[in-house]
Amino acid sequence: MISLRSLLAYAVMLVSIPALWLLLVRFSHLPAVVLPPPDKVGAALWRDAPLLWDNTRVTVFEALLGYAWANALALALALMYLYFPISEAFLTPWMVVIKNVPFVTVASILLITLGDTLTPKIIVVVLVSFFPILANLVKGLGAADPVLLDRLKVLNASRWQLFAKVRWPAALPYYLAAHEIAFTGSIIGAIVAEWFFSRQGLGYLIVNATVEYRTDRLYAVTLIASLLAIAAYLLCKATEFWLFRWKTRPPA
Amino acid sequence: MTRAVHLSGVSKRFGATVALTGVDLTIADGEFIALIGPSGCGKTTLLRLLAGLETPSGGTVAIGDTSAREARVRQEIGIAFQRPALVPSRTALENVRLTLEICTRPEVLSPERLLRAFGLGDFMHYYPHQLSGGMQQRVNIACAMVHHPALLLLDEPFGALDELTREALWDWLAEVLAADRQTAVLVTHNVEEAVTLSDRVVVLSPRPGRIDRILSIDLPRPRADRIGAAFLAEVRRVREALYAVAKASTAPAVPAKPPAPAP
Repeated sequence: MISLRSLLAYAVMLVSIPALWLLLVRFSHLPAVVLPPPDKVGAALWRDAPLLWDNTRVTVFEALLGYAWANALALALALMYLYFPISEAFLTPWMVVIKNVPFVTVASILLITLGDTLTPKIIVVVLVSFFPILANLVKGLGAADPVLLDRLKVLNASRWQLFAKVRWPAALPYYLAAHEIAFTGSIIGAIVAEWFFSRQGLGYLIVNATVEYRTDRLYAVTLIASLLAIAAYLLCKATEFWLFRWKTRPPA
Repeated sequence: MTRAVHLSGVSKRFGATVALTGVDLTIADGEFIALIGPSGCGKTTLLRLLAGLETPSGGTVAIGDTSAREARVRQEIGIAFQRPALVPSRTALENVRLTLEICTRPEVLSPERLLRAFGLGDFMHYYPHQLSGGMQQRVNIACAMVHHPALLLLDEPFGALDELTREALWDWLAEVLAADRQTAVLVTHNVEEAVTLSDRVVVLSPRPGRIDRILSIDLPRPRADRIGAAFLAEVRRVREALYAVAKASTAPAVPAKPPAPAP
């Protein structure tokens, strides 16, 4: 639940960032090419709006597509683990290996193998966001109340009914907790993938701005990427608040 | 009186462990049976066999004219456990309705009417976390009864409640079940609870679990006077049976002292 205190904390942070930025610009005496003032970044945002918008759309599309794949795969695997427990024993070593191979090297291999196409970017996003979703889904589906399961088994509930009415509601808090990490991670994953191999997207703009010493654009992209990640996080929190509104609802 | 439940030569093994052996018991329609005994005597296993959640290793478990498993498929059994089996995100009414979302039996009770009869008319739209332990347990029992089961199974439903709430719920349950002539089997550790509610008390002994004796409780109902001489005499009788079983089960298998050598 979002309390008044946490809203105030966010408001203080939003005011503090430009204030601290201005103070840093004023007292650090760093040149504008290293630390551009907020007004210069604002001008870059305004001037490059069409370019930034087009590339933001590309990044968001890749992040959402990769994220959808990560969710579908994690859900499929979690269900397989639940209903065919032997599969977990056999697949866990694979998961451990895939999770622990540095994805920077995987990204390089994908670049050589698949080139600048959509697939390697989606794979990177999936690699970043898949594991937290899988881990939380497995834990959540296993956290279903055994007493409640027995009560419904006595009523001869079908496997689907047990899933829909007991297992899934029990897994939901874990699933949403995973989104807080993984949804934000998918945007970061898409930017990193573009940073490696792309001619479009926010990651590409970062590389481009760095090479051309366009720090105003670099800061503008940072601002947009941060806002996207924060928006993803807040969307997760809002969904959680809406789904669990019964927890704070006063007695009828 | 017709036969509601019949167990014949029932045994249950878990690997090398014999949980129950040679259980023969017949429960009449509308009868209330309490299963009592020391820990590990197989009370809960027996209840799970009646619920069709376990299959017997030997013998037969019949509910009415069919097996326990078939009775479960026909949704003729309701069960309430010690910990209320309620979905936290559903109100009391929605939790009771959950039973009917699963059940396809034609003759079911109205969840609203049942909750009102259970004294929860003002609380049916409350979530479980907004209800007291006693209220949660009443909702739990309503969930087990709303589909009008032929057999109601109660696994220590009042074990986690305080003394006064527990006693109030004994009287409430006795009244509810008497009105409906509901056949019920209760697992309990509490002798007063067994005497208050049951027509017969089945005393089980452990290792392996089996029926040691069956005691009829011939007290008039309602049995709210739990300090009267007649009630206390029945409590004493059941407790003595329980002590005898406990003593026999803790007696060493070999004599503590070796026999004296022959002169």
